[in-house]
Amino acid sequence: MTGPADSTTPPDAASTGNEASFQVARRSEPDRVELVLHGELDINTMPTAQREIEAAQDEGPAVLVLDLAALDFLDSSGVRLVLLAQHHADDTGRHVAVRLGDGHARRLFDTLGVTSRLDVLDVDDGRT
Amino acid sequence: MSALDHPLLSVHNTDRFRHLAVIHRSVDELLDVFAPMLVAATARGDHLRAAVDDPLSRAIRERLGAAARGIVFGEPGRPYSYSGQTTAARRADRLRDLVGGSRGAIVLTDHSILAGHTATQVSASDHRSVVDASSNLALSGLPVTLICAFDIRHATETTEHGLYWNHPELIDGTTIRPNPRYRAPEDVLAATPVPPAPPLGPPIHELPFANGTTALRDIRAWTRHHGQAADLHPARIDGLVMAINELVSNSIEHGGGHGTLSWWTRPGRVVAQIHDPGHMSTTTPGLRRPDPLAPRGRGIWLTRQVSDILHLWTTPKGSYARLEIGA
Repeated sequence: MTGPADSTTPPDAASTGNEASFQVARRSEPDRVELVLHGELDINTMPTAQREIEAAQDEGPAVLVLDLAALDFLDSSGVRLVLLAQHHADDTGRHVAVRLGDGHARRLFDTLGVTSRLDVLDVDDGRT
Repeated sequence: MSALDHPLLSVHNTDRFRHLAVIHRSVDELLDVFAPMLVAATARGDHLRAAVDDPLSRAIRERLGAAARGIVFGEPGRPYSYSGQTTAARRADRLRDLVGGSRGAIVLTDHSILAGHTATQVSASDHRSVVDASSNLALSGLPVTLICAFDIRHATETTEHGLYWNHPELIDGTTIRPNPRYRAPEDVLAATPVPPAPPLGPPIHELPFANGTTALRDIRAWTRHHGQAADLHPARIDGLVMAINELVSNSIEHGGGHGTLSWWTRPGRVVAQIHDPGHMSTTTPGLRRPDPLAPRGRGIWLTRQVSDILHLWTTPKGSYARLEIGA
Protein backbone atom coordinates (compact mmCIF):
# COMPACT_ATOMS: atom_id res chain seq x y z
CA MET A 1 0.00 0.00 0.00
CA THR A 2 1.53 3.31 -0.96
CA GLY A 3 0.69 6.51 0.82
CA PRO A 4 2.32 9.87 0.34
CA ALA A 5 5.72 9.63 -1.31
CA ASP A 6 8.24 8.23 1.13
CA SER A 7 11.94 8.92 1.19
CA THR A 8 12.69 6.15 -1.26
CA THR A 9 10.36 7.41 -3.96
CA PRO A 10 12.37 8.98 -6.72
CA PRO A 11 11.29 12.46 -7.77
CA ASP A 12 9.24 12.70 -10.91
CA ALA A 13 11.79 13.98 -13.37
CA ALA A 14 9.24 15.02 -15.96
CA SER A 15 7.34 17.28 -13.60
CA THR A 16 10.24 18.92 -11.83
CA GLY A 17 12.56 19.36 -14.81
CA ASN A 18 16.21 19.78 -14.21
CA GLU A 19 16.01 20.03 -10.45
CA ALA A 20 15.29 16.32 -10.30
CA SER A 21 17.94 15.33 -12.81
CA PHE A 22 20.78 16.08 -10.43
CA GLN A 23 20.94 16.23 -6.65
CA VAL A 24 23.65 16.16 -4.03
CA ALA A 25 23.04 14.75 -0.57
CA ARG A 26 25.48 15.85 2.11
CA ARG A 27 26.37 13.94 5.22
CA SER A 28 28.66 15.58 7.74
CA GLU A 29 30.57 13.50 10.28
CA PRO A 30 33.20 14.55 12.80
CA ASP A 31 36.13 13.65 10.60
CA ARG A 32 34.66 14.00 7.14
CA VAL A 33 32.02 15.31 4.82
CA GLU A 34 30.45 12.95 2.34
CA LEU A 35 28.66 14.11 -0.79
CA VAL A 36 26.47 11.58 -2.56
CA LEU A 37 25.66 12.57 -6.14
CA HIS A 38 22.40 11.43 -7.71
CA GLY A 39 21.01 11.77 -11.20
CA GLU A 40 22.99 12.90 -14.22
CA LEU A 41 26.28 14.79 -14.05
CA ASP A 42 27.27 16.72 -17.17
CA ILE A 43 28.44 20.23 -18.06
CA ASN A 44 24.93 21.57 -17.38
CA THR A 45 24.74 20.18 -13.84
CA MET A 46 28.44 20.45 -13.01
CA PRO A 47 28.13 24.01 -11.67
CA THR A 48 25.63 22.73 -9.09
CA ALA A 49 28.00 19.94 -8.14
CA GLN A 50 30.91 22.35 -7.95
CA ARG A 51 28.94 24.68 -5.63
CA GLU A 52 28.12 21.80 -3.31
CA ILE A 53 31.75 20.71 -3.24
CA GLU A 54 32.93 24.23 -2.47
CA ALA A 55 30.38 24.52 0.34
CA ALA A 56 31.64 21.23 1.75
CA GLN A 57 35.24 22.35 1.41
CA ASP A 58 34.36 25.52 3.35
CA GLU A 59 33.43 23.32 6.32
CA GLY A 60 37.11 22.45 6.39
CA PRO A 61 36.85 18.68 6.76
CA ALA A 62 40.02 16.65 6.91
CA VAL A 63 38.45 14.23 4.45
CA LEU A 64 35.97 14.91 1.65
CA VAL A 65 34.30 11.85 0.15
CA LEU A 66 32.68 12.13 -3.27
CA ASP A 67 30.25 9.31 -3.95
CA LEU A 68 29.59 8.90 -7.67
CA ALA A 69 28.28 5.34 -7.48
CA ALA A 70 24.61 6.34 -7.59
CA LEU A 71 24.82 8.55 -10.66
CA ASP A 72 22.67 7.54 -13.61
CA PHE A 73 25.09 9.27 -15.96
CA LEU A 74 28.44 10.97 -15.83
CA ASP A 75 30.90 12.05 -18.49
CA SER A 76 34.41 13.45 -18.64
CA SER A 77 33.26 16.55 -16.74
CA GLY A 78 32.62 14.24 -13.78
CA VAL A 79 36.21 13.13 -13.92
CA ARG A 80 37.25 16.77 -14.06
CA LEU A 81 35.14 17.52 -10.99
CA VAL A 82 36.92 14.84 -8.98
CA LEU A 83 40.38 15.89 -10.15
CA LEU A 84 39.71 19.54 -9.30
CA ALA A 85 38.64 18.46 -5.80
CA GLN A 86 41.80 16.34 -5.56
CA HIS A 87 43.98 19.28 -6.56
CA HIS A 88 42.25 21.52 -4.02
CA ALA A 89 42.83 18.93 -1.33
CA ASP A 90 46.51 18.66 -2.28
CA ASP A 91 46.87 22.43 -2.13
CA THR A 92 45.20 22.71 1.29
CA GLY A 93 46.70 19.67 2.97
CA ARG A 94 43.43 17.73 3.09
CA HIS A 95 42.26 14.46 1.61
CA VAL A 96 39.73 13.45 -1.03
CA ALA A 97 38.35 9.96 -1.49
CA VAL A 98 35.78 8.69 -3.99
CA ARG A 99 33.26 5.93 -4.30
CA LEU A 100 32.83 4.74 -7.86
CA GLY A 101 30.71 1.60 -7.52
CA ASP A 102 30.97 -1.19 -10.06
CA GLY A 103 29.23 0.34 -13.03
CA HIS A 104 29.56 3.20 -15.42
CA ALA A 105 31.56 5.53 -13.17
CA ARG A 106 34.15 2.88 -12.40
CA ARG A 107 34.52 1.93 -16.05
CA LEU A 108 34.97 5.55 -17.05
CA PHE A 109 37.65 6.23 -14.48
CA ASP A 110 39.42 2.95 -15.32
CA THR A 111 39.44 3.71 -19.05
CA LEU A 112 41.09 7.04 -18.36
CA GLY A 113 43.71 5.54 -16.07
CA VAL A 114 42.52 7.76 -13.22
CA THR A 115 41.29 5.10 -10.78
CA SER A 116 44.77 4.15 -9.68
CA ARG A 117 45.58 7.80 -8.97
CA LEU A 118 42.73 8.30 -6.51
CA ASP A 119 41.74 6.98 -3.11
CA VAL A 120 38.80 4.83 -4.21
CA LEU A 121 36.73 3.42 -1.37
CA ASP A 122 34.83 0.23 -1.83
CA VAL A 123 31.13 0.94 -2.28
CA ASP A 124 30.25 -0.64 1.04
CA ASP A 125 33.28 0.56 2.96
CA GLY A 126 32.50 2.79 5.89
CA ARG A 127 28.74 2.61 5.54
CA THR A 128 26.73 1.84 8.67
CA MET B 1 73.12 -12.94 -41.42
CA SER B 2 72.65 -9.20 -41.89
CA ALA B 3 75.53 -6.78 -41.45
CA LEU B 4 73.16 -4.75 -39.26
CA ASP B 5 73.95 -6.96 -36.30
CA HIS B 6 70.45 -6.66 -34.80
CA PRO B 7 70.42 -2.87 -34.37
CA LEU B 8 67.03 -2.87 -32.72
CA LEU B 9 68.05 -5.54 -30.27
CA SER B 10 71.12 -3.64 -29.19
CA VAL B 11 69.24 -0.44 -28.48
CA HIS B 12 65.81 -1.84 -27.73
CA ASN B 13 64.11 -0.03 -24.94
CA THR B 14 60.82 -1.55 -23.92
CA ASP B 15 59.56 1.75 -22.52
CA ARG B 16 59.84 3.81 -25.66
CA PHE B 17 57.87 4.13 -28.86
CA ARG B 18 60.13 4.01 -31.91
CA HIS B 19 59.13 4.73 -35.48
CA LEU B 20 61.52 3.78 -38.24
CA ALA B 21 61.41 3.85 -42.01
CA VAL B 22 63.25 1.20 -43.97
CA ILE B 23 64.20 2.52 -47.40
CA HIS B 24 64.65 -0.30 -49.88
CA ARG B 25 64.80 -1.04 -53.57
CA SER B 26 63.61 -4.61 -53.63
CA VAL B 27 61.76 -7.11 -51.47
CA ASP B 28 65.01 -8.98 -50.89
CA GLU B 29 66.73 -5.82 -49.68
CA LEU B 30 63.79 -5.19 -47.35
CA LEU B 31 63.92 -8.71 -45.96
CA ASP B 32 67.68 -8.45 -45.45
CA VAL B 33 66.79 -5.82 -42.84
CA PHE B 34 63.56 -7.32 -41.49
CA ALA B 35 64.43 -10.96 -41.15
CA PRO B 36 67.11 -10.69 -38.43
CA MET B 37 65.00 -8.10 -36.59
CA LEU B 38 62.04 -10.44 -36.50
CA VAL B 39 64.13 -13.36 -35.36
CA ALA B 40 65.64 -11.26 -32.56
CA ALA B 41 62.22 -9.92 -31.53
CA THR B 42 60.84 -13.46 -31.42
CA ALA B 43 63.69 -14.50 -29.17
CA ARG B 44 62.95 -11.54 -26.93
CA GLY B 45 59.28 -12.48 -26.66
CA ASP B 46 57.83 -9.39 -28.31
CA HIS B 47 54.51 -9.49 -30.10
CA LEU B 48 54.95 -9.37 -33.86
CA ARG B 49 52.51 -7.88 -36.31
CA ALA B 50 52.96 -7.50 -40.05
CA ALA B 51 50.50 -5.21 -41.82
CA VAL B 52 51.70 -5.96 -45.33
CA ASP B 53 50.24 -6.94 -48.67
CA ASP B 54 49.97 -10.55 -49.78
CA PRO B 55 53.15 -10.72 -51.90
CA LEU B 56 55.25 -9.37 -49.04
CA SER B 57 53.61 -11.64 -46.46
CA ARG B 58 54.41 -14.63 -48.71
CA ALA B 59 57.99 -13.44 -49.10
CA ILE B 60 58.35 -13.09 -45.31
CA ARG B 61 57.04 -16.60 -44.75
CA GLU B 62 59.37 -18.01 -47.40
CA ARG B 63 62.42 -16.24 -45.98
CA LEU B 64 61.74 -17.01 -42.33
CA GLY B 65 60.15 -20.42 -42.63
CA ALA B 66 59.20 -21.74 -39.20
CA ALA B 67 60.35 -18.51 -37.58
CA ALA B 68 57.41 -16.74 -39.24
CA ARG B 69 54.91 -18.72 -37.18
CA GLY B 70 55.09 -16.16 -34.39
CA ILE B 71 54.03 -13.33 -36.68
CA VAL B 72 50.41 -12.27 -36.79
CA PHE B 73 49.66 -10.96 -40.25
CA GLY B 74 47.17 -8.13 -39.86
CA GLU B 75 46.95 -4.52 -38.89
CA PRO B 76 45.96 -3.47 -35.39
CA GLY B 77 44.34 -0.39 -36.91
CA ARG B 78 41.88 -2.33 -39.07
CA PRO B 79 39.29 -1.94 -40.44
CA TYR B 80 40.68 0.89 -42.57
CA SER B 81 38.54 3.83 -43.59
CA TYR B 82 38.81 7.34 -44.93
CA SER B 83 39.75 8.48 -41.42
CA GLY B 84 43.49 8.35 -40.85
CA GLN B 85 42.86 9.69 -37.32
CA THR B 86 40.72 6.65 -36.55
CA THR B 87 43.24 4.16 -38.00
CA ALA B 88 46.06 5.55 -35.87
CA ALA B 89 43.94 5.73 -32.73
CA ARG B 90 42.66 2.18 -33.09
CA ARG B 91 46.18 0.90 -33.79
CA ALA B 92 47.31 2.48 -30.52
CA ASP B 93 44.38 1.11 -28.52
CA ARG B 94 44.86 -2.46 -29.75
CA LEU B 95 48.59 -2.32 -29.14
CA ARG B 96 48.05 -0.80 -25.69
CA ASP B 97 45.89 -3.80 -24.80
CA LEU B 98 48.51 -6.18 -26.18
CA VAL B 99 51.75 -4.95 -24.64
CA GLY B 100 52.70 -4.99 -21.01
CA GLY B 101 55.16 -6.52 -18.62
CA SER B 102 58.34 -7.21 -20.48
CA ARG B 103 56.66 -7.75 -23.83
CA GLY B 104 56.69 -4.99 -26.37
CA ALA B 105 55.49 -5.13 -29.95
CA ILE B 106 57.07 -4.83 -33.35
CA VAL B 107 54.73 -3.75 -36.12
CA LEU B 108 55.84 -3.87 -39.73
CA THR B 109 53.86 -1.96 -42.24
CA ASP B 110 54.02 -1.48 -45.94
CA HIS B 111 51.91 1.57 -46.76
CA SER B 112 50.44 0.06 -49.90
CA ILE B 113 47.88 -1.68 -47.71
CA LEU B 114 46.23 1.67 -47.03
CA ALA B 115 45.54 2.11 -50.73
CA GLY B 116 41.89 2.17 -51.67
CA HIS B 117 40.77 3.62 -48.35
CA THR B 118 41.61 7.22 -49.04
CA ALA B 119 38.99 9.94 -49.28
CA THR B 120 38.72 11.32 -52.80
CA GLN B 121 39.99 14.77 -51.91
CA VAL B 122 43.23 13.44 -50.52
CA SER B 123 46.19 11.81 -52.20
CA ALA B 124 47.19 8.36 -51.04
CA SER B 125 50.50 9.84 -49.91
CA ASP B 126 48.81 12.45 -47.76
CA HIS B 127 46.57 9.80 -46.21
CA ARG B 128 49.58 7.64 -45.31
CA SER B 129 51.30 10.70 -43.91
CA VAL B 130 48.30 11.46 -41.70
CA VAL B 131 48.25 7.87 -40.41
CA ASP B 132 51.99 8.04 -39.68
CA ALA B 133 51.89 11.45 -37.97
CA SER B 134 48.79 10.52 -35.97
CA SER B 135 50.50 7.28 -34.94
CA ASN B 136 53.43 9.32 -33.63
CA LEU B 137 50.98 10.95 -31.23
CA ALA B 138 48.76 8.00 -30.42
CA LEU B 139 51.54 5.46 -29.82
CA SER B 140 53.72 7.78 -27.76
CA GLY B 141 54.85 6.11 -24.56
CA LEU B 142 54.03 2.57 -25.66
CA PRO B 143 56.74 -0.10 -25.91
CA VAL B 144 56.12 -0.46 -29.62
CA THR B 145 58.48 -0.30 -32.57
CA LEU B 146 56.68 0.66 -35.78
CA ILE B 147 58.65 -0.08 -38.92
CA CYS B 148 57.44 1.35 -42.23
CA ALA B 149 58.78 -0.01 -45.48
CA PHE B 150 59.35 2.48 -48.30
CA ASP B 151 60.17 1.23 -51.77
CA ILE B 152 62.17 4.19 -52.99
CA ARG B 153 61.74 3.11 -56.63
CA HIS B 154 58.08 4.18 -56.45
CA ALA B 155 58.55 7.31 -54.36
CA THR B 156 57.20 10.65 -55.50
CA GLU B 157 57.83 14.02 -53.94
CA THR B 158 54.79 13.63 -51.73
CA THR B 159 55.71 10.14 -50.55
CA GLU B 160 59.11 11.54 -49.71
CA HIS B 161 57.44 14.15 -47.52
CA GLY B 162 55.61 11.43 -45.66
CA LEU B 163 58.77 9.38 -45.37
CA TYR B 164 61.07 12.14 -44.16
CA TRP B 165 58.61 14.11 -42.07
CA ASN B 166 57.17 11.29 -40.00
CA HIS B 167 60.00 8.89 -39.20
CA PRO B 168 62.48 9.93 -36.54
CA GLU B 169 64.86 7.13 -37.58
CA LEU B 170 65.79 5.73 -40.96
CA ILE B 171 67.39 2.52 -42.12
CA ASP B 172 68.97 2.81 -45.56
CA GLY B 173 71.19 -0.08 -46.46
CA THR B 174 73.09 -1.18 -43.45
CA THR B 175 72.86 1.76 -41.09
CA ILE B 176 70.24 3.07 -38.72
CA ARG B 177 70.42 6.82 -38.30
CA PRO B 178 68.40 9.72 -36.84
CA ASN B 179 66.43 11.63 -39.45
CA PRO B 180 67.23 15.37 -39.40
CA ARG B 181 64.16 16.16 -41.54
CA TYR B 182 61.72 14.71 -39.02
CA ARG B 183 58.82 17.04 -38.14
CA ALA B 184 56.66 17.09 -35.05
CA PRO B 185 53.32 15.38 -35.77
CA GLU B 186 51.38 18.52 -34.82
CA ASP B 187 53.19 20.35 -37.62
CA VAL B 188 52.63 17.57 -40.16
CA LEU B 189 48.93 17.45 -39.34
CA ALA B 190 48.65 21.24 -39.51
CA ALA B 191 50.20 21.11 -42.99
CA THR B 192 47.88 18.33 -44.19
CA PRO B 193 44.26 19.50 -44.14
CA VAL B 194 41.83 16.88 -42.91
CA PRO B 195 39.42 15.85 -45.68
CA PRO B 196 35.72 15.92 -44.90
CA ALA B 197 34.02 12.61 -44.26
CA PRO B 198 32.23 11.28 -47.36
CA PRO B 199 28.88 12.95 -48.16
CA LEU B 200 25.87 10.88 -47.15
CA GLY B 201 22.84 12.63 -48.55
CA PRO B 202 20.13 14.18 -46.40
CA PRO B 203 20.07 12.92 -42.81
CA ILE B 204 16.94 11.18 -41.56
CA HIS B 205 17.00 13.41 -38.47
CA GLU B 206 18.47 16.83 -37.92
CA LEU B 207 18.40 18.21 -34.38
CA PRO B 208 19.59 21.73 -33.63
CA PHE B 209 20.99 22.13 -30.14
CA ALA B 210 21.99 25.02 -27.93
CA ASN B 211 23.10 25.37 -24.38
CA GLY B 212 20.38 25.21 -21.78
CA THR B 213 19.64 23.61 -18.45
CA THR B 214 18.38 20.34 -19.85
CA ALA B 215 19.96 20.46 -23.32
CA LEU B 216 22.36 17.59 -22.81
CA ARG B 217 19.96 15.42 -20.86
CA ASP B 218 17.40 15.79 -23.65
CA ILE B 219 19.96 14.95 -26.32
CA ARG B 220 21.07 11.87 -24.41
CA ALA B 221 17.47 10.68 -24.13
CA TRP B 222 16.89 11.38 -27.83
CA THR B 223 20.08 9.51 -28.75
CA ARG B 224 19.22 6.53 -26.58
CA HIS B 225 15.76 6.30 -28.13
CA HIS B 226 17.06 6.45 -31.68
CA GLY B 227 19.96 4.12 -30.97
CA GLN B 228 17.45 1.56 -29.70
CA ALA B 229 15.31 2.13 -32.79
CA ALA B 230 18.38 1.35 -34.91
CA ASP B 231 18.74 -2.01 -33.11
CA LEU B 232 22.16 -1.32 -31.67
CA HIS B 233 23.34 -3.67 -28.94
CA PRO B 234 22.71 -2.15 -25.47
CA ALA B 235 26.44 -1.87 -24.72
CA ARG B 236 26.99 0.05 -27.94
CA ILE B 237 24.02 2.30 -27.15
CA ASP B 238 25.70 3.31 -23.89
CA GLY B 239 28.81 4.19 -25.88
CA LEU B 240 26.75 6.06 -28.47
CA VAL B 241 25.09 8.15 -25.76
CA MET B 242 28.46 8.89 -24.17
CA ALA B 243 29.98 9.84 -27.53
CA ILE B 244 27.17 12.16 -28.63
CA ASN B 245 27.18 13.73 -25.17
CA GLU B 246 30.90 14.46 -25.30
CA LEU B 247 30.79 15.87 -28.83
CA VAL B 248 27.77 18.07 -28.16
CA SER B 249 29.31 19.22 -24.86
CA ASN B 250 32.42 20.17 -26.81
CA SER B 251 30.39 22.25 -29.25
CA ILE B 252 28.60 23.97 -26.38
CA GLU B 253 31.76 24.71 -24.42
CA HIS B 254 34.22 25.42 -27.23
CA GLY B 255 32.31 25.63 -30.50
CA GLY B 256 30.12 28.67 -30.10
CA GLY B 257 27.47 27.22 -27.78
CA HIS B 258 25.16 25.72 -30.38
CA GLY B 259 25.11 23.44 -33.39
CA THR B 260 23.32 20.66 -35.23
CA LEU B 261 23.19 16.91 -34.67
CA SER B 262 22.55 15.01 -37.92
CA TRP B 263 21.62 11.36 -37.96
CA TRP B 264 21.65 8.56 -40.54
CA THR B 265 21.14 4.86 -40.11
CA ARG B 266 22.60 2.07 -42.18
CA PRO B 267 22.00 -1.62 -41.68
CA GLY B 268 23.53 -2.38 -38.29
CA ARG B 269 25.04 1.06 -37.95
CA VAL B 270 24.37 4.55 -36.72
CA VAL B 271 26.13 7.49 -38.35
CA ALA B 272 25.94 10.84 -36.61
CA GLN B 273 27.51 14.17 -37.34
CA ILE B 274 27.85 17.14 -35.02
CA HIS B 275 28.43 20.53 -36.57
CA ASP B 276 29.09 23.80 -34.78
CA PRO B 277 30.19 27.20 -36.05
CA GLY B 278 33.42 27.17 -34.07
CA HIS B 279 36.90 26.66 -35.41
CA MET B 280 38.64 23.56 -34.12
CA SER B 281 41.84 24.82 -32.59
CA THR B 282 43.64 21.50 -32.44
CA THR B 283 45.06 19.49 -35.32
CA THR B 284 45.34 16.43 -33.08
CA PRO B 285 41.84 15.78 -31.76
CA GLY B 286 41.78 13.00 -29.21
CA LEU B 287 44.93 11.34 -30.55
CA ARG B 288 47.10 11.48 -27.45
CA ARG B 289 46.07 9.44 -24.46
CA PRO B 290 45.11 12.06 -21.87
CA ASP B 291 47.38 12.70 -18.93
CA PRO B 292 45.42 10.99 -16.15
CA LEU B 293 45.72 13.95 -13.77
CA ALA B 294 45.14 16.81 -16.21
CA PRO B 295 41.78 18.45 -15.46
CA ARG B 296 40.79 18.72 -19.14
CA GLY B 297 41.34 17.22 -22.55
CA ARG B 298 39.82 13.75 -22.38
CA GLY B 299 36.39 14.00 -24.02
CA ILE B 300 37.43 13.37 -27.63
CA TRP B 301 39.83 10.59 -26.69
CA LEU B 302 37.03 8.92 -24.72
CA THR B 303 34.73 9.23 -27.70
CA ARG B 304 37.29 7.42 -29.84
CA GLN B 305 37.26 4.51 -27.38
CA VAL B 306 33.58 3.79 -27.95
CA SER B 307 33.26 4.50 -31.66
CA ASP B 308 34.15 2.60 -34.83
CA ILE B 309 35.01 5.78 -36.68
CA LEU B 310 35.51 9.26 -35.29
CA HIS B 311 36.63 11.84 -37.80
CA LEU B 312 36.96 15.54 -36.97
CA TRP B 313 37.61 18.35 -39.41
CA THR B 314 37.15 22.07 -39.66
CA THR B 315 36.24 24.39 -42.54
CA PRO B 316 35.34 28.07 -42.84
CA LYS B 317 31.74 26.95 -42.07
CA GLY B 318 32.75 25.53 -38.71
CA SER B 319 33.79 22.24 -37.13
CA TYR B 320 32.46 18.77 -37.84
CA ALA B 321 32.63 15.45 -36.07
CA ARG B 322 31.48 12.33 -37.94
CA LEU B 323 30.80 9.35 -35.70
CA GLU B 324 29.99 5.78 -36.69
CA ILE B 325 28.97 3.05 -34.27
CA GLY B 326 27.96 -0.39 -35.40
CA ALA B 327 25.69 -3.01 -33.94
